Amino acid sequence: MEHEDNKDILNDWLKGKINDEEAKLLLGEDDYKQYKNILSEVDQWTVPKWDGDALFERIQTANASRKKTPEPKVVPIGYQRWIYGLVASVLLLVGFSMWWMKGNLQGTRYETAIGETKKISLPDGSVVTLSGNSSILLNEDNFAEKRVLNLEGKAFFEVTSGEGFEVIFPSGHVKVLGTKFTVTSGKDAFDVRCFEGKVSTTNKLGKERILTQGMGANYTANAGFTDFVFEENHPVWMDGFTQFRDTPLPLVLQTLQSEFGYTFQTENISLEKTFTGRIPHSKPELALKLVFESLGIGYEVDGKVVVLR
Amino acid sequence: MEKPSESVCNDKVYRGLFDKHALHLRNYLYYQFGDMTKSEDYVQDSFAKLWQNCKKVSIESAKSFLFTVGKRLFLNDVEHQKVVLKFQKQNTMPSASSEDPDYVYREGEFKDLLEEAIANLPEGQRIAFLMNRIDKLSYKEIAERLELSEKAIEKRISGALRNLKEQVEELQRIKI
Repeated sequence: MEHEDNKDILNDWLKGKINDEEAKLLLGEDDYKQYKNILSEVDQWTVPKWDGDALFERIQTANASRKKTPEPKVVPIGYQRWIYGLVASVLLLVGFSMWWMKGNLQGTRYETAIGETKKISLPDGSVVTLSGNSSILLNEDNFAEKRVLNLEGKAFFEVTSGEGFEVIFPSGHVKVLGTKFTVTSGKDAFDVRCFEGKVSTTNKLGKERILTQGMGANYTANAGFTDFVFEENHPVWMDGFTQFRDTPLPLVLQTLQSEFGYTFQTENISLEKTFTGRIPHSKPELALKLVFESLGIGYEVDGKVVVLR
Repeated sequence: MEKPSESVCNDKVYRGLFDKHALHLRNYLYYQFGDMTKSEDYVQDSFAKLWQNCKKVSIESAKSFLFTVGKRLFLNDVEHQKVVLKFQKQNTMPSASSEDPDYVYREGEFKDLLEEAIANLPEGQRIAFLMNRIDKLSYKEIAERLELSEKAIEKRISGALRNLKEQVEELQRIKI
């Protein structure tokens, strides 16, 4: 027989508030047995088999096939793996000749005008601060999955931890995980400084340098890699300066161009020089003076054109 | 300090959500619609949707996102057939009915009968009951997934049990 208050009894029993014996008394032996049979039977059941890994594989494939754009070409580094760090920061300055990037890649491009600074949040939570006259290009759809981007100009990267993070530029590339570092790069030269953690940098010939905190290396096509050490704990250009240290002249000129919009006529001078010193971003004339006087290079400013001799 | 790595977009987080919710989601869809192939398809679609929206969905809200999307996708699929549920049986547990000859049914028979009765349950009762008895989820966990109160889940589960008993008695009368 069904009783109205069976509801509460059933509930109490199912929730374990009353035990089997009490339930048997309250529900009556016949009803109790029937209920018990049903529950005992169902409790032995399992759902049809579950192959979670296979399904996850399918999901990943489906997610990957949603990518609308081809992935940028990356030269794999292979044996480098870093599993450190929470937040990494990268500063990159990449040179002028980026023709090979344009047209080859689709994706989202973020750009800054001369003298402008812009913060961009990437899909994986990393933040890029773009310096003047710079741009990054990435495929936002799959960026969280495959963290590769192309860079033109200069940027500060605060990279979240996770699988790989790669920045590609014409004269090489940088791969990072859990570090802070800067790169200043031109067509045939670059400068990398590691502020935290560990960085691997590879030039376009496939030569590699591994840097840890306070270590820097610069590369030119003629001289190869040169190592150095430094003391700053963050890139000073963030504070409105650029700190050069044995920086190849083409990169110095590139920075002056990005920061102030100058173009340089270099036909009459040798570019095989390096500059060490700090220039303020707020004082273009002073910057020119600091760089060229210390290098013994004569210069003449005509509007935004600077003739070097 | 912000922790951007703890985002649904993070591969590990995403996989973790899959491990935690995918099976329950599949079973839920199965209990509701009784079609295993489609249930898995919609689990796949739900997780794909989650990935597409990984920037917008927080880890905390991922569960209800998945269950809502999964159900909506399935409802949009108009070709619902009659619910047919089939379960496997573990033979490890002693059956209570074996203690009492009156209620001994030949293994397969009672299972078939009960499967039929379960398929006939109102959807709400069926889902809650099976999530509780097969997925072994607590009333609270079921309530969270279905976005209902625990009281409602309690009502559905005991309602399901009463309903099943009536059906079983009815079916036994017919078949005996």
